[in-house]
Amino acid sequence: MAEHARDAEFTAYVAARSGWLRKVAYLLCADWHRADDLVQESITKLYVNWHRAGRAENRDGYARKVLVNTFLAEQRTSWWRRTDRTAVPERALFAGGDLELALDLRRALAELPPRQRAVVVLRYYCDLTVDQTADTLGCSTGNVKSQCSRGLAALRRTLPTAGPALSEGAV
Amino acid sequence: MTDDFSPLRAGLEAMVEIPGPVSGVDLQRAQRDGRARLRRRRQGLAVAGATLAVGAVLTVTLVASGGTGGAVGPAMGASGSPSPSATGPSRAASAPVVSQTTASYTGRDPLTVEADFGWLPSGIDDVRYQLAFDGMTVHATSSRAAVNDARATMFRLRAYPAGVTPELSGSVVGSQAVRVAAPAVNGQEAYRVTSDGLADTEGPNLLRWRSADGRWLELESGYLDRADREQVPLRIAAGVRLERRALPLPVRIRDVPAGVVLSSASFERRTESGKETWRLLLNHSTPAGYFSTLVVPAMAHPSGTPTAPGGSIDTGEREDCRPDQGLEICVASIQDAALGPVGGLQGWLGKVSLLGTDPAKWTTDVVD
Repeated sequence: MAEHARDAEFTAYVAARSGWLRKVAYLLCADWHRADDLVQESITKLYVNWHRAGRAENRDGYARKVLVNTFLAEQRTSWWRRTDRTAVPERALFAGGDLELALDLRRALAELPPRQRAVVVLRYYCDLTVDQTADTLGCSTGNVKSQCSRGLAALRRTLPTAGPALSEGAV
Repeated sequence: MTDDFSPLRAGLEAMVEIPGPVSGVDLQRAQRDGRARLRRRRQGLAVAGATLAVGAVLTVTLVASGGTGGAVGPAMGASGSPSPSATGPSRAASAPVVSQTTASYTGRDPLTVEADFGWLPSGIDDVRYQLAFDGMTVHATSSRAAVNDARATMFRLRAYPAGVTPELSGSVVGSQAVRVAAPAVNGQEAYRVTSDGLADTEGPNLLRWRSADGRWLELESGYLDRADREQVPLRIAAGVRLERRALPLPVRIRDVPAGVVLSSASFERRTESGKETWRLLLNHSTPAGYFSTLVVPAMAHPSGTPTAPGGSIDTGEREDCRPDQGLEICVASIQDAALGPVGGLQGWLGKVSLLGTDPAKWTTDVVD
C-alpha cells in the first residue's frame, strides 16, 4: 500500500515536472540526449530517495539539487568524454532575436567549466539567489559569487554583443 | 535579482524553446531501476545489520594492521563479496549523490577482476575496469567514439560470485524482462535477457552463460546494429578469460584513516591521437562528503594545464595537483570538509606514492 502511494505520488510529480527538469539538464549539458540521460538518472535517484523528497519543503529544489549533482558527478567520472568540446553543434538555420542569442549562448555555455555553467543556469534560469545556489551546490556563497563572476566574464568574452547584462560586478 | 540580466535570461529561455528531439525520459524505467536499487539497499542493510558491530571493529583492525581486508563502507563493515546482492549501502548511499555509495573488495588491490575480455570487435579499444557499489565490471567501447556520444557501442562484463544466480527481474530496465534461449557458449548453458516492450534494437541486450566452474558471467551490449545483436556478444563471450587477477596500479596508499572508504575506483586504457594512455580514478567517501583522486600520465591531465599545489583549476572543484615520477596526481573535492579526516588536500597527497610510468614497477599492494 505504501509502495503504491509512493508510486502514485512519484508518477504525478515526474509527469508534471520532467519537462522542466529536462530543460535545466539541457542548459547544463547542451545536448538533448545527454539531458535525457541526466534526467533519467536523476528521477531514478529521486524515486529511491522519495521519502526524503516528499519531506522536502521545496520538492523542486530537491529534484534540482539531485540533477545538478548528478551532472557534476558525471563530469568528474567521464572527463575523457568532455575534453573535446568540438562536438558542440554549430549554429543552425535560425537567425535574429532570441534565437540567435540562444544559439550563441549554447555555444558559449558549453565552453564554460561545468561548475560555472551550473552556477549561471541556477542563477539566471532557475532564478536562485546566491544562498540558494550555494545550498544546491553544497558550497559557500563566496564560491558561488566567484564562479558566477568568472562565468559571466567568460560569456562576455564570447558573447560581446550580450551587452551590459554580463557586466562585471553585476553578480 | 535585477532586470539587468534580462537578455541573459531571455537567451536561456530561448535555448530551451528551440525544438529538440522527443523526450527519451522513461518514468517506468526509473521506477523499475529505483525498486532494484531499493531492493539492493534492503538486502545490504540486512547484511550490514548482522555484521555492523563486527565490521566496525574489523575495519579498524584491518586498516591498522595492514590486513587483507579491502575497503569497507562507514555503514557496511567488511561485507566482502562484490555480488550485487551482497553489496550494501553506506550511509551515503541514501544521499542524492550516487558517488558516495560504497565499493567492497577484498585484498590490497581494489581493482581485482574475475573475468576479462579476450576478443573484442575491431575499434573497441577503450577498456575500463571499474569497481563501484554494484561490484566489479569491465567496460569496453571505442576510443574514437564521438564526444558525448551516449550511444556508442559498448560492452560490460561481469562475473557473479560462485553460487549466485542472477535474477531476471533485477537486471533489466524498461519493460518486462524476457529470457530467450541462446546458443551454448564454450559448451555451457547460455541465455539472453531482453525486453518484451521495446523494439529489439532499443531493449536491453544481456547474454548470460555459465563458466566451466559453474559461475555465471554476464555481458551487456549496448548500441549494436540489429545484425550484430546476437552474434557479436556470443563471440565476445566465447573469448572471455576467467581468471582472478589483481590489476597492478601506479599508486600505493598508506595510512588511510578509519571511516575513509573507497566508494568507487576505475582504471581505463584508451588510445588518444594514436597513443595509448590511461587514467586511474579513486573516489573516497568520508562522513562529510566525497573526494576524487585522479592519476594520469603527466601530459594527460584533463585540464591540459596542470596546476601548482594549492591552486585551483577551472572546474569549480577545489583541486590540488602534484607532478611526480612522470605522473600527475590530482585530488579534488566539492566539499572541503570531505578531506578533513585525511588532513586536507595536502594531507591526502602525502599518503599516496606514485610509482612512475613503467607498468612493470606498478603494484598490486595498493592499500594497506
